[in-house]
Formats: sequence, C-alpha cells, structure tokens
Amino acid sequence: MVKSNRRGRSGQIIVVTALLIALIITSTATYIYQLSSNVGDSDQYTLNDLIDSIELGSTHAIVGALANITNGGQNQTLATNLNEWTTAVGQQYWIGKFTLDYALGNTSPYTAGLYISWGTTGIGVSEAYASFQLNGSGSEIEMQHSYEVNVSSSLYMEAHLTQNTSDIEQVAVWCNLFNNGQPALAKNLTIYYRESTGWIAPNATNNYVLRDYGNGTYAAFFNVETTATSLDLSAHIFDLRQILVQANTTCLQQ
Amino acid sequence: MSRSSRGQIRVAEAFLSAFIIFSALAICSALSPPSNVDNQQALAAQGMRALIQLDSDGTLTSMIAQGNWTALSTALQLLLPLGVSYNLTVYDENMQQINTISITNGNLIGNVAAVQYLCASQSLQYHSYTLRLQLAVVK
Repeated sequence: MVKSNRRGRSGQIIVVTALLIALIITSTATYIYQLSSNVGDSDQYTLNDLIDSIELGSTHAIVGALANITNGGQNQTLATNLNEWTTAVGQQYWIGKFTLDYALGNTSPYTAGLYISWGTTGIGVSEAYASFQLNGSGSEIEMQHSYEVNVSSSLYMEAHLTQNTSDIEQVAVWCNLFNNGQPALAKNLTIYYRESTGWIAPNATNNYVLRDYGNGTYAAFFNVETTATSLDLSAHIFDLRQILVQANTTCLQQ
Repeated sequence: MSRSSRGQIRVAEAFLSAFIIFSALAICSALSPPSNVDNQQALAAQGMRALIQLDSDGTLTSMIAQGNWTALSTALQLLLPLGVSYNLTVYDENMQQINTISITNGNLIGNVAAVQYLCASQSLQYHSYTLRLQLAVVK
C-alpha cells in the first residue's frame, strides 16, 4: 500500500522539482539582468569622461609651462599656454558648447600662478597653480564645473662633509624628489660644488658615484680637494616631466 | 486506477514539467539585456576611456609629437576590447591631419561610434591635438 502511494506521488515530485528548477533559473536570470543593467549605466558617464579629459589637458598645459619656465622660459608662458588651451576647448563641440576660464594663483606664495623657490637651505620648489571654471551648454547638457590644478616638483637636499686626508674631503649628498608631494623619479640629476673658479660638477676624477634608490631618493658621493671646513653645494634635478628644481646648501665638516 | 490511465498521467506530468522548465528558459531569454559591446554609446565610452588612460601620464601626446603612430596603434589595440576595430585620425591646432599613416586595425563595418578627444602636450613648447577615434564591433 505504502509502495503504491510512493509511486503515485513520484509524478508530483517531478512537477514540484521542475517548478523549483524553473524558479532558480528565472531568479538567476533576473539577478544577472539587474547586474548587467548596472554595468550599462556606467557607459552613460561620457560627460564625466569629457570633464576628466579637459582637466587632464589643463594639467598638461601647466606642466609644459612650468617645464618651459624652469628651463629659462618667460613667466608669461603659463598664461600663454592656458590661453591657448582654453581657446582650443572653446572651439570644440562635443555634446554641447564648452567654455573654459582660468585664474592664476595670486595668493601667497604664488605670483602669477608661479612659486619658484630655489633656496639655500637645501629645499627647492618649482610650483604652478591655477583654478578653472568649465561651463557647458547645449541641447543635452547644462553644466558648471570648477577645479584646481597644482603642479609641483620639490627637492630636499642634505649633505655631509668628512675629511678623508689632510687636503681631501669626502662629500655625501642626499636628494629627495617629490612631484605633488609624492616621491618621484628624476630624469637627470647633477650635483655642483663651489670652488673659487665657480660651480663645478664632480666627475670620475672626484670618484663621483651616484646611487639611485628607485624611490625618489638619490645619494651622490665624491671627493673634493680642499682644506676648507665648509662647502657650497647645489643640486639640479629634472623630473620626468622635464621640470627643473634646484636646491642649494652649505655643508660643514663633521 | 488502471495501468494505462496511470501511464497517461505520468506522460502528462512529464510534459507539464518540461513545459515549466522551457517556460522559465523562454522568460530568461526575453530578460537578456542588449550586449554592451553592440551599444554605440558604450563603444564611444570605451574609446574615450582608452584615450584618457593613454593621456593620463602624457604618453599620448608624447607619441604624437614623436610621430610614433605604430606605438599609438599598438597601445590602442591593447586598451580597447577584443573584437573592436578602430580608426584614429590626429589633427594639429589648425585641424590639419598629422598622422602620416593610418592608425587602424581593420575596416570599420556596421554601426560606427565616434569620439572626439582634445589633448595638450606636456612638452616645453605647447601643442594641442584633436583626435577623432572611430570604433565599430567586428562582426
């Protein structure tokens, strides 16, 4: 009797199982559909991408200007570059018409958007700052966006002088380079020491050795023929963006 | 209940089960969202992001300034999804085309998405470039 009942129910179990499987399939499909819909939303953010690209261009224009100025160019290069950039933005038409306005930083320590301080305390800063206002208008958009761009290259230098022999001093110089506060690599680093004839870059005759620690820290070691107890040093670093930053210091014999 | 009628019920139950499962599958296929890759706006967004990624550290303008069109094409091929064909044209400030060879990985067939990208160089001498990137899904 029991066996007969079981046989009778087995068909119902198949139907219930089919219902469960169908439920699992539809709920999984619904879940995947919702996930896919969310991914689809991210493709709509083209306006944000556009703003990102304009911010990037602004940053690059300032980097180029700062590189130009620190390499001997005119201070007006910053305004010239930004004028050209804002004009170029205004001439484009994407999903609307955009206008980009800028203002160079003029509050301390900036003058006309620049702060270049290559001091004698072992710290050097090359920095530029500007704020921007982007307006977009068109049939699809109406937006305003303001942002600031700060580009800096800073150098921290420390040096020690140790007497090797009676007339030879060993110099050890440590340099730390930062781009916008983050350790950065140098494209080129030159150390100079001052002699009566002027600034001299040590070379193989000075047993010059430059050590790159790969994290923005550089150490230079060399010998100088002198009996003086102090030595004026200068470090000139070009970062990977070609921005030059210099620092000077006087090291005393230990 | 006779054996033959019990067998008919089993067959009916089996058909019902199969019907339920196929109905679920049919509903699922109706729920499938349209492919993102086929979507022109999605293609344009992918192209835009590829260019932003290349431009983020100044590589894009550096390659343009050097006229390294092969490297630019290779970089785009790496950044864009497989199965997407592209054609890039680079213009200078005066909207003169400056790429001397085609920057493309094949013919654009079907629905073409287009991206216009403006970039500025980090070089000592300021330059800006307008890039026109066309994208299509390889069928």
